[in-house]
Amino acid sequence: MSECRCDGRGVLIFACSGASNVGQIANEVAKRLHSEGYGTFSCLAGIAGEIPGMVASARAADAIIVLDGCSVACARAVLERAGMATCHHQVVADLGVRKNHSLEIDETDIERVYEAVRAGAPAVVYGARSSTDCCGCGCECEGGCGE
Amino acid sequence: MRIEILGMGCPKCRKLATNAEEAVRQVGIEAEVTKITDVTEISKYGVLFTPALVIDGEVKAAGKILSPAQIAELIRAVQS
Repeated sequence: MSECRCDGRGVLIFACSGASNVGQIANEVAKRLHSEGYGTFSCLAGIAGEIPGMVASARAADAIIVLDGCSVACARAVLERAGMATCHHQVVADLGVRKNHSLEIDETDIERVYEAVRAGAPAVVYGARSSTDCCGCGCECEGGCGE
Repeated sequence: MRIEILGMGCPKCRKLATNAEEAVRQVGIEAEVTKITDVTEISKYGVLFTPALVIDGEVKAAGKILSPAQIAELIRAVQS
């Protein structure tokens, strides 16, 4: 966290990041979504480990996107066990990528899954704040949101 | 009891701190309400959204302004 996060809005992205090609594709797609400002890639391990700050933050999210590599759906299971609803769930293997245990992944597969998630996930873009709804705390959004 | 408010000092953080102080009065305990505004320190708690409420070192809520009554309930739960 490098800026004020008091605006109360946010999409969190979780990926299984599993030890397979599809798990690694899920990880790469989560990284891309994060870097393009679509949400915040968050640590699934923190939820599984019941780290209070991470669990409380996930409960406060406006939306949760979960990317699983295969139909075992470990990431969704972790979140459901923690009592969190998933807004959008994507299984990489459901998009025609055959699971194997090679960690070498294809850029075209990443692109395909990324586009599918963008097409199906909730249209909430974290970071698209205007200067008029800034909290005024020095977070570079120029003040004014108040309470 | 130790109560910490995590946030960078915006109005929402200050409101949560005020509510926490009110909750302490309502419950009638001795507790210090401290504001933590340093990003590095806040990150150590694993929170992604602020303001966050920490009681005795454990994050109880993040990204929400809890009311004095809600905070009082959390304080009582920690006490029991």
